Amino acid sequence: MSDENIVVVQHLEKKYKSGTHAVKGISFNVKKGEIFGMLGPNGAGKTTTLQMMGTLLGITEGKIKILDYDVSAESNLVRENIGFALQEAGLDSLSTVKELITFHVKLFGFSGADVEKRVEQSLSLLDLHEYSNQMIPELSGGTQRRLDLAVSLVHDPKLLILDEPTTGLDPAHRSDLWSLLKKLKSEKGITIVMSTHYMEEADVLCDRLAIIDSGEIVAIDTPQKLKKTIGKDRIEFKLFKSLSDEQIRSMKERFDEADVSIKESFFTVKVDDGEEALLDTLKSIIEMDVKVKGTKVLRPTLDDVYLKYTGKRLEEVQ
Amino acid sequence: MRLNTILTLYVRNLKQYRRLPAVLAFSFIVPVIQYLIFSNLFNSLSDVPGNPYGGYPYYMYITPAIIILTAIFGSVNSSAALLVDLNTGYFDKLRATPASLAPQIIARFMSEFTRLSLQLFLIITVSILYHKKVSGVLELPEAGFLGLITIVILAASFGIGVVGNLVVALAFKTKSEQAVQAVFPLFFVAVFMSTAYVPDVLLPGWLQSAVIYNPSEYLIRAVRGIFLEGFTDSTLDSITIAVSCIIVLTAITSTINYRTIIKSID
Repeated sequence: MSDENIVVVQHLEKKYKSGTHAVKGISFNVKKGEIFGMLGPNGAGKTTTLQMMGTLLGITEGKIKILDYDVSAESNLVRENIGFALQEAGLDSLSTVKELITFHVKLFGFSGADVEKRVEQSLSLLDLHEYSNQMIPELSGGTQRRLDLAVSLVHDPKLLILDEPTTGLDPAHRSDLWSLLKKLKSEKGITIVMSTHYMEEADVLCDRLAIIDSGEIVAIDTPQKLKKTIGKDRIEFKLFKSLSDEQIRSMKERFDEADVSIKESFFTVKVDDGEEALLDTLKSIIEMDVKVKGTKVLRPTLDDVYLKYTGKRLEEVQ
Repeated sequence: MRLNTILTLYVRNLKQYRRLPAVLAFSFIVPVIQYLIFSNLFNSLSDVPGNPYGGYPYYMYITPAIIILTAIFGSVNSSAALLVDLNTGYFDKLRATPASLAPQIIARFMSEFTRLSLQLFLIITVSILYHKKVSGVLELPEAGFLGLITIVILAASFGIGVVGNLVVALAFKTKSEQAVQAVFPLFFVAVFMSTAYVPDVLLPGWLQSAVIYNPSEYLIRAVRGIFLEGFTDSTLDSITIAVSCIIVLTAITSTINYRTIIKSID
């Protein structure tokens, strides 16, 4: 990843004619080669922001620069340099796979032998050869998503904008798409800006993340750093019986009292790295003659981050 | 706006119709059936005393009406392929490519104009063949091939410019095929409330005074003049009035269309 900014968003606002204030003055940068995610529930303003970046919606206030082109003033240059896959795989239902890719290659000004070459490249990259003569409505949801990506990539865009790319996909197809996006980033160096309301997706895929709530960015950083803001990992022990007063005293002596919590037959201790500290902690507890029934490491999740910054759980507001 | 982009979209739009045969067939077969039925059913209208077109067989009198009807039918259906794009989200996907908004709309109107022109040539060919069957003579109308081209341009311009614009605006507003098809009876009534099927002197009194407010009447007069009388002075006057009507109405409907599209995407 370089320091060069591919996307610069400054004080961006969108007010619809209906009066809805969908985006309220957000600012962020996306660096070259980065996968940048926007995490938030439906209606948070993610799609509106991406649509303004993709020249599909007018900007009420603020500015977006993509590859140094002003999205409002130089929209034609922006369109030539980005690939955009909308929330629903919007594809021409009256075409075959190959016809659609060919059309998109020509749309970006390629002609002659270049057309055939790029169509072949797209079919290979997205593993679509076996479907090339199939009509688009006959394809599965996952294959349509791949085709949507294929047509968004025919011109080797420097920036790929993806609006909830895995919504509606089953776990297997979702995982395939994650691998594909990682491959696009590592092999082709494409910068990706994507929205999602799946925490796992944001965690696994994104280098940096903006958490959006009601049109505002409430936190922005790497998923790891965001989770760090929540605090330490926790190791939870399930015990055969409640601790005696003597055992409680020993526990508080062995661990920092502020890091210990005891509730009936559960004992929880906060540590910096749960997996690393698990064995040592278990050993210490056993030495105190405590019988342990089970244990698990609890790490802060992005949902905890969302809760911290918005006061609500992401899963609850979906 | 690149010409090459518009051309690529134009070719793609025409190819779409390979996969919409019902749309092509519907907008062609209905006028042909009406032509054949009306020609036989009202054949004796030419013999009615006082009919200024009594010198022509009725099937020739109603040919211009059938041409206009084909233009209207074809134009109402011009939203079919657009609605497929709008409802699948593909229209928006293309807006984020060099196709953007204006080239998509321009290419759509160009391809619909081409499709409609071909359909109009087809219906004129049917009328010429029907004339041969009845009279035994294979001949072009009075104005010759140039006349046929003029008829096609006038009818297609009216169809796409006036009806097509309104239909596309409705497609953007409702994104519903049913809503778009529902407006067809309005245009159908407009053609009936003109001299398309019956000369003005044979119309009821109230309708005789009403036809002057019907824009399709001026188009029918121009097309009928070219088809039956050739490029006479009075035909040229009718063409001038028809062209003026088309320009004014297209300007109005284009403005409505533009506003509707902009409103629907922002």
